[in-house]
This record gives sequence, structure tokens and C-alpha cells, in this order.
Amino acid sequence: MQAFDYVRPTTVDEAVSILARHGDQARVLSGGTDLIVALRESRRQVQVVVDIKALSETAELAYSPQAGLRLGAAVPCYRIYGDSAVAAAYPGLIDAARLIGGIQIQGRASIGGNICNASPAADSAPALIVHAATCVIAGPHGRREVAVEDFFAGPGRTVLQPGEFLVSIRLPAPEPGFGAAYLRFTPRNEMDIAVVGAGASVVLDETRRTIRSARIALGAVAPTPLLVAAAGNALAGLPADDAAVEQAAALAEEAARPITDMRGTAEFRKHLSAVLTRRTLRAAIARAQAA
Amino acid sequence: MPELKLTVNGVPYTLDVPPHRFLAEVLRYDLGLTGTKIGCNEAECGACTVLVDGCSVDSCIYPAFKAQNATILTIEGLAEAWRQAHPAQEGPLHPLQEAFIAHGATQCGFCTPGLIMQAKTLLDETLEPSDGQIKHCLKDTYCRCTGYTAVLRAVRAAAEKMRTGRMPAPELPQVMAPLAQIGKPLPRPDAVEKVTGKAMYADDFRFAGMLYAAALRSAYPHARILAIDTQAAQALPGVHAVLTYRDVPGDPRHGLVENDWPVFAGGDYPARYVGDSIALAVAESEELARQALGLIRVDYEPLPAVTDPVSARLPDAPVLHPDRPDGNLLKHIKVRHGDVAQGFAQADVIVERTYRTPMTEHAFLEPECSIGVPAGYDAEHAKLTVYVGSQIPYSDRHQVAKSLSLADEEVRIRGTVMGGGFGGKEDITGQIHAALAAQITGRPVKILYSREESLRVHPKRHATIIRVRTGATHDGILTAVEAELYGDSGAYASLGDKVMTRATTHATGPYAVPNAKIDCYAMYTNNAPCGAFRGFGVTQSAFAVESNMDILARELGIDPIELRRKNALRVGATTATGQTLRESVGLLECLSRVEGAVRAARDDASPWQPWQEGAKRYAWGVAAGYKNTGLGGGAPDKAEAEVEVFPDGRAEVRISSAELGQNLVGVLAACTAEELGLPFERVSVLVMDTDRAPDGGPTTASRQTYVSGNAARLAAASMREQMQAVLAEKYDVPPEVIAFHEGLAYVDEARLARVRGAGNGHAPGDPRPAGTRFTLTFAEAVQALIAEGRAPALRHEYWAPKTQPLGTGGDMHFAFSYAVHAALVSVDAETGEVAVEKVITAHDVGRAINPLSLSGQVEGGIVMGMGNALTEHYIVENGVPWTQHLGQYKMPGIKLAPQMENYFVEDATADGPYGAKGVGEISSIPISPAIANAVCNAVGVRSLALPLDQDALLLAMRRGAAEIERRWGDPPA
Repeated sequence: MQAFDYVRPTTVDEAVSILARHGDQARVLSGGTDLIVALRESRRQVQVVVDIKALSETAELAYSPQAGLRLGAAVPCYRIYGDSAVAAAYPGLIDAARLIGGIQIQGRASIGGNICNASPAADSAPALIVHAATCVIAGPHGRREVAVEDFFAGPGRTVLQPGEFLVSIRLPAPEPGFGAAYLRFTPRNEMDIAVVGAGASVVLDETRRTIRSARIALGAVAPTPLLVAAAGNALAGLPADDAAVEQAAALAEEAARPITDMRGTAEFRKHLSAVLTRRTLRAAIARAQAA
Repeated sequence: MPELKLTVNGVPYTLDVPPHRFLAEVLRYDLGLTGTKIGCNEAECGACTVLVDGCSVDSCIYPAFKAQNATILTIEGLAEAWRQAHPAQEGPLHPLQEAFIAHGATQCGFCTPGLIMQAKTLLDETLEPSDGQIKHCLKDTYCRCTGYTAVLRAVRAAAEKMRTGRMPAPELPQVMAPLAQIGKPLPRPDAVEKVTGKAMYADDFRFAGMLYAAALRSAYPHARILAIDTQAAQALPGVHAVLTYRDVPGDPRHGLVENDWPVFAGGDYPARYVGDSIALAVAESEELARQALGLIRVDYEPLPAVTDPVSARLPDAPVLHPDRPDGNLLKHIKVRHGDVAQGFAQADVIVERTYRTPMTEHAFLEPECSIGVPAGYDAEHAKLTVYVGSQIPYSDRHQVAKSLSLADEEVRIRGTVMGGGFGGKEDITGQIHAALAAQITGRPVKILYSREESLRVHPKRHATIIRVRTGATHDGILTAVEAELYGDSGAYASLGDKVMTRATTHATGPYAVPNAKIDCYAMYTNNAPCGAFRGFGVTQSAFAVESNMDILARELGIDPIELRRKNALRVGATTATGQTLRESVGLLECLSRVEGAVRAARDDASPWQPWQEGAKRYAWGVAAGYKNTGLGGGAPDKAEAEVEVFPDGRAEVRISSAELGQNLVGVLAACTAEELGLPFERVSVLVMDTDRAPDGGPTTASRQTYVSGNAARLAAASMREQMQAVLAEKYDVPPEVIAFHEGLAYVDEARLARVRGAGNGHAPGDPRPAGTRFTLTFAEAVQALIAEGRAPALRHEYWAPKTQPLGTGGDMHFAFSYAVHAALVSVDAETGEVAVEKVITAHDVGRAINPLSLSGQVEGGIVMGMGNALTEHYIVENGVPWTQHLGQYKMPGIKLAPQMENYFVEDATADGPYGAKGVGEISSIPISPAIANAVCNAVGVRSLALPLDQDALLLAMRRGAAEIERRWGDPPA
């Protein structure tokens, strides 16, 4: 194991100044479940590990039906699905939070860390995208917000600039008739990285038969997690039926531009994009109808 | 950095540790709480699970300073915490610990602390956990031994105990009526130590002044080493030595069969795979040793590498071992039986396919560790000693001594508790290096492999290419088998020749085939060496044979079980190697048991027909298999046991066979207790110590229950006879009337009556005195033995029945075990995902010595075979492993564990202990082809390669292709 210093700032400003001072030799530690393994495998070299779990904002999990959810970047997965109000309001996020790693990982791993690791296959990314989440970023020049689908710059890369870090994620309050779901495909073992992940959310009208709006997102089929805007847009105004689901699935398959690697071929992944979109969209509609 | 304050198991600590120290290291190395294990250091295996403020974490990647002011609970503190919270409850253990013992959920025990700590978090929430909840809770906690079935059983049982106060007994397959000890589900003798974290694995030992060593591995799969510059590494403060080939005083090479594996590559020996060691840095800490490796400069001349067995045989292939006579050919193995031309001429149907199987990794959860302690280190270490978890202690001793230029007797191997082996701990890994480093530095030296090193270095299961041609008549009688096998034996021989011999001799399957011609080429390549792995070559050929059998059944329109039954080996049948089976062939009964159970489960006249539910298609598939017990092929197969009885009424059996999780210690204790008439708990077992226990031979070939079990049984019987003789003399009764039972020695009236005829045991007119009736405790009997001046210890060397080399006819093996496995699979027709839902199996094991650990062997073997079928592939690209981390090796977790219904068939073998034969390997053999056959029954696509590529399966289904040829993990086309 490479040697590193461990610091635990207690304010956002302090964290920013440490990060700004050390540049790419510093790395934020939230749960550490990705970072520590990367350090051990020498995939990353750092001198300073900046633990942000002591910051009040990054540890915050605050939900209200009016304001929505403020999810601190260091909140571990188990706190999210352990909160029944949050679990009821954000079912897609919960699906993902329960899937990330084993239980021993979920006690530490955070959604913030999952997206900052910027794997194209990050389970939380499609879920956050369909929940229309935004990222709150602190840095030397103050704060800024970006939509979660714009947070990723490529495999392992985000839009975070030197000195910046992710403080929290905001999820808008769900409208009446809202439902969401996330599914992934990991046939070889539970702990595998998704071959394809798919998230869907819908808002149904009062009759619960017509789709007012929808969002579809895919993981592991492009260099970054993908919002399939065309699919969501096409669903608006359609009856919540099989034909609508098929149309969204076809658009998702069209939008996917996967590569072939050890986990699956591009052809297989394109096909799975449709299958998983179909399944996750059906689940989202069912949840919206049950709500 | 401030000091670290934490409370562990109720004890507060203040520590000064560096900021990059991890919690697992603090617990193990700073606090000596070695019950917390490190299996991978990448949060993949869960062996390091502890509770931090009540929440479970993988402590291997948990920075220690995150635990500042936290309260930690580890396996060592679990029972005490339970007792404090539940003063009214009885028993010294937490219910989970108790249940893991009673239900056989601990085998090698390395994963046990992690599993128990993680399961505790679930039972903190609910005492009525569903199997789904248990699986979710333990989804990231690997076990390689149990197949998880016993773990599920144990967690449910612990919950029941916590709810009701009563621990339920395990429900196990039915076995014949037990003897005093044999046939009973006795908990393993080492179980308490394993569930409490007290069991000492090699890395748990520390010695004052101990140094740490790490090896530099070759950067190329094949390269000449022109120069090694160790100066900078040696100059690093804290580095005590940097060793290379120049420092080996004795034989520069080692090997189990062929002496072809250099202790260090360099000089005359090129690096032949990326696991070859070039230098060993010995330093004050492991971190320093690894830092020193980075300062070593090696000049390589890369050589062309040969990375598959077929091109290895081409005339222009680069040759790995120029000193060998046949290029890269390690061995050409031939089976000739009858006349295949005539056999195929008689056939109405001929099926021919070529199959491919993957290189696979044992992934025992304990990485290799050796500690060398120099001669004269202290009173306990008068001679050079190596602490290691090894499957062949006496072979380690010989190989260490030979390379250090010592006599065998100048070296002692002290086996530690082993965290699994499965065949992967038979070869030398760190033993010679640790001994050499200890000898040179005069200090104890530990070598602990990282998981990455373990994956890179130790021998794997052979990847094979197997072409099989099978002929049969219209009514399903096999007439001929012709086969050609290529085995990738990798850079060094290891046990490659033996493994591929077993693949070859078993390539007709468990069937009477009158004509066979089989050729196998075991080839050297620049991949990792391949050697022993549970199944020993038969895993591979069984996939080919049993796939062909199902194709044949379909072409002939014969039920797959019926086709197998028609041809099944039975008493009187002759194998392809010319061995006529005279007894103990339980295959027909295995077929009937499985057939009956599958038909009952399906409630259907045609149990192999698929059905559909939603997107999923379901079907059952079946396969049969057999596997030799013992070395066979003419190799002397023996084991020596020493039994000692003590005046306090205990006994000990000593034998240097390996306990690697299979519960050999329980078998040896049961055999000894049975013969001495002692309660099981009063027999202790010492294994794996070349100074204190005689040689039990290698722990391989499913041989130890049979060979070492017999040695223990006969040594104990011999000791009992000595005590009988002494007591007979003393009390003036015939020795055979003295019974040893339940810790007592007494005159058995019934026996006496049989000997002396009726009438109170004394026939009228018999001039002999009636003798004195007596009842002594076992302790008193031992005291009488000692008072007579007899030695309280004796040795017995057991020789298994003689076998014949391949090609000479006669008995190539002294026993075979048989099994039939049926698997119910589901295939998601939209994604290609394959799941094994349920398995039904029957195993002919001769006699169930201990049904609890036998179930463990069966359940674990099945899940390991499932991994072989569906997910496991040690992927190598041009001689360089893609599979570098445990996370890249896909083995089954608990979520993939199927339901099981297992049957035991006890068709006794005459010379086995109480009729028993081996089970360690057969349990993982037929399951792979059973799964492949089930998938074919479900969706009509046959995979000719393992692991089954679910991606290719889906594409084949969509395109209407009937067969797939690629393995998952093969480079994209």
C-alpha cells in the first residue's frame, strides 16, 4: 500500500483549500470503497486523502415533500434506503442504493462517491438521472450546480475542476403520479459491474393511464451514463401501455453506443438496453399506478 | 497525525499508527486479534468483516483513522458480548457460532468470522429471516468450501435458537445405521476454534524479530534474464537481503513430479511465465520489502511466447525446456482398448464434437503464506522450520531440504490451519524462499502472498480442448469412443502429467465401452502452470463425455437416464483401461435415485421437457460421473498413523495428512475413537507436522479418508489389541472378549459366552478358569498397559491395494466413487441469463463416515462445479492474466446458491475404512455437464465450451444457432 496522509476537514472551505493546495495529489475520500481499492491496485497515486465525512453538509440527508431531497455526498447507501420517507419518494434511487456492493460496502459507500468515481456503469447514475437530480459543487470560486447527466466527462472523469468537490446532490420532490425504477444486468455474479443498467421514471396523469412526462437513462452503454432524452420525450402524452413501452425500448436501443469488452459485446449490450428499458419502465409505471 | 483511539471488544486502546494503516491491519497486526481475516484486500471477499459502531464494514479497506473513537466488535468479542447481553442464556458461544458448528457451516473456516459477523447484522434486525434476506445480507461474503447451503441452514438455526432457546438439528440425507462414531454427524473437532477466531492460519503467527519478504515476478511470459541489479534495493535502509538464483545453495529447481521449476528464474533458467520469481527482498516490513522490489533492475531479453497447447505442439514453436526430449510435450498419454475401427463399424449413430474448457482458479480464501524460522532460533525451533498451510507437508520438506542442500531430517514443516486448498496448495510457493531467507538472515521470515500474487503464481486447472467421437447402436449400446485431448500444462510440469492422465483414462465416462482409443497431449506453454484442482482432469473430460451422451440420447430418441443406465459401469464391467470392477459400483442406484427424484419434482412422464414462465424457460438436465480414489497407476499409496493413549483416558492420532477444510481431522478422530471405544471428544488429532506426525502422503486424489482413515483405524485397532492382550493376561480371559466401548474396557458376557459356550460363559468341564469379570475405565486400561511396560504409542503403515500403470491392464485404481447430478436451470430468453434453480444429486461414497461433513463436501463441490460451468475463467491474454484481482474472477456468491436435494448411496468397498471411498472431487464433476445439458433442453442451444457464455447464448437463440463454441472470457471475435 502506498503511503498517504489522511486529513479530515470540518468545513467546506477547509476542504476546498486543501484540495486546491494539493491539486491532483489530493483525492476526496467519502466511503473510500472505490478510492482505497484503486490506491491498493496502484491505479491511482495520491499523497493526501481528504475525508469529507466530518462535514455537516456532506453528511446531511434531508427530505421534505415540498423541497425534495438534499443528499449529502458522503451519506452511505444504507442510510438512504433505511429512511422510509426517502425510500417511498425515490424508488429508483433506492433500487440502486441497495445494489451498490455488498452490505459491508453499503455501510460506507455513498451515492456521491459512486458518481465521482465516474464509472460509465455506476449504478446510481441512471437512477439519479431519472430522478432529475442536480449536483452541488463547491470550489475555490464558490458554488455551482450541474444536472447529474452533465456531471460526467468520460470514463473515470467528471466536470470537477481542481479544488472542487461534490458537496451534495439535490433531487426534486416527486410530483403526484410519479414512479421510478432502476435495474441492471450482472449475470455472472452479484458483485459484478453492470453489463447494462437502465433507469426509468414517469409522471402519470390523474387517471394514472396516461404518461405526462418520463425520463429514461442507461449505464454502461457509452463513455458516460446516458440520458435518453428522445425516449422520455416520445413518451409524453402517450397511454401507459405496451406500445409506449416498446417505443421507449426501441429508442433506448438506438441511443446506446456501447463497446465490446470482457463483460459483453456491443451487440449484446444494445439488445439489453431495450430489454432493460422495457422492464424498468414497466416497473416505474407500476409503481406510479400503485402510488 | 493524532493518535488513534478505539474500543475493541470492550477494551479501549490508544495507538500510534501511520495514516495509511487499515483497520484490518490494526486489528490483526497491532492488536493481535487475528480472527479477522484478510482474503483479498479489495473488499471483494468479506472475510475481514467487523462491526464498527454496530455497522458491518470490510475492514481491509477501512482506513483505521475512520474508526477514531469508534467501538469495534470482532469475532473474538462476539460470544462475550452475547453473554453480557443475555445472562440467562446457556452456552459459551453466540447462537450463530453454535449453529455454524452444529450445521457444518464452517469448513476451512477462513471465511467463517466474516460470515458470522455479517450474519449478526441481520439477526440484530430480525429473528425470522427469510432465505432471501439471508442471501441479501451475505451477498458480498464469499465462502469457497460450503456452497452456502450449510450457511443458510446455520443462520436460520441461529435465529430459531434466539427465538425459542432451542438449537434445531441439521436435516441431512439419510444414511445407514451408525456405529458408535462412524455414520454420525459429529461436529468437527476444530470447529470451536474456527467460529471464535482462535484458529491459527499461517499469517496469524508472529515471531520476535521476524522479517518480511516479497518476490519480484517476471514482467514477461517468456524471457531470458541477462542481468539483475539488486544494489539499490539492498542499499534501502531496513532491507536485510535481496536474494536471487545465485543464493540457492542446493538444487536450483523443484517440482512434484518433474524437477523443472526454478527457485528463481535467472542464470540458466529463463522466466517461463509471469509468475516466475526473479528476486526476493527481505526487509523489516512487508511494505519495505515491496518498496525494495521497485528498486531492482532486471535486463530481460523477451523471447517469443507460446500460449496455447495446440500451437505448442507445432514444429516451429518456441521451446520452453530445451533439456527435455520432446519439445514442449510434457506427456503423450494413450488409452487403447479393443478395436475402435470395428466399434465404429458396429455403430448406427456416431456423434463427434470438440469441447473447450477454461483455465480456472482455486480461489481458496486464504492466500499462500510461509514463515521460515532458522535453526536454533529458540528451544522450540532447533531445526529450520517452515510454517505453512500445505497439502503435502513431507514433499515440502524434501523440496526445501534439497534446494537448501540439507538432509530432509534437518527441516521441519509445521502445518498451520489452512484456508482451503482444492489442489492449489500442493506445489511449492513460498516455502523454499522463506526457508532460504531465514537461513541467510538468521531471523524468522514471513512471505504472505497478496491476492494478486496468488492469482498470478500458483498452478491452475488445465484449460483443455477435447474432441470426442462416440458411437452407439440403435438401441443405445455404446460401441466405441475415440478422443483427442490437448491440455495446457503451462510453464512447469506440476502435476500436469497426472492430471491429464486422469482426464484421459476417464474420457469414456462411467460406462462400459468395448473399444476406445484416446490420445492426450499435455503441453508446456508460457501460461501459468496447471496442476491439481478438485476433479483432477476428470472435470474437463466429463463435460465432453456427458455432453456427447446427451446429444446421442437425443439422436437416438432414448431418455438420457436410460441411455446412461444401459451403459453404466457395474460389477463385472471392464473400464477402458482394462480394469474389471469387482465391487462397490453404485452408479445404477445413483441413476435410479436421481431419476425418481426428478420425476417426482416434475410430476411428469417426460422430465427433460422445457417449460416457460414469463421470459424464462426452464428445464432439467442430467449427467453422471466417476472419479478414482487414490493415486493409482502403480504409484505406491500409503499412509502412516501414530496412535498414542494417555493414562488420563485420552488418545491422540498423529498423521501428516492435510486438513484443508474437508474435515479429515473429524474422520481420523472418528476412526480412532471407533476402534478404541472412546467418546469422540477424547481423541485429539495432530496433522501436518513432519517432526511429530508420520507421513500421510499427499492430500490429493480424494484419498485421505480411505488411506489415512485406514491408517488411523488400523493403528487404533492395533493399540486396542495391545490393551486387550495386557488385560487378558491380567484378568485371565481370552483377549477377544474384552470390549472397548464408551470409554470403558470390560468383559463382554455375550462374547465370552460365544467363546466359552453357554453357562455363564464357562462351560462345565472346561478346565480353564472362568476368569475375572472386570470393568475398567479407558484410563485404567491405559495405566495397566503402561504398568506392563508396554509403549503407549504405536505406528501403523497402511498400504492401499496395489494398482497397475496405465497400459498394463489390471486395476489402475483401487476404488471409484460415482455420482449423478441433475440440474434445473432457468434461461431468461430476453437476456440469456442462466440460473441454476435446483439440483438433485446422488453420490456413491461407499460409506458415510460423517454425514454432516460429507454433506459439506457434496454441497461445496456442487457450487464449485456450477462456477466452472457458468462463470469461472482465469482469463489470460498472450500469457498475461487479465484476471489480476479477485473481483475479476467470477465465482458464485450466496445469491447463486441453488436449492439442493442430495442422496447418499453407500455401496461399500471392501478395503475402505468401514467401506468408505473418496468424495472430495466427484461432487464437483457431473454438475457442469448437467447444467450445459439442462440449458440445451431449455432453449435448444448447446454450449460446447465452458464457462457458458450467456451473451453468446442469447445471440445463438436469436439467430437460431444450435451450438456455441466460445467460452465466456474468450477475446471478442
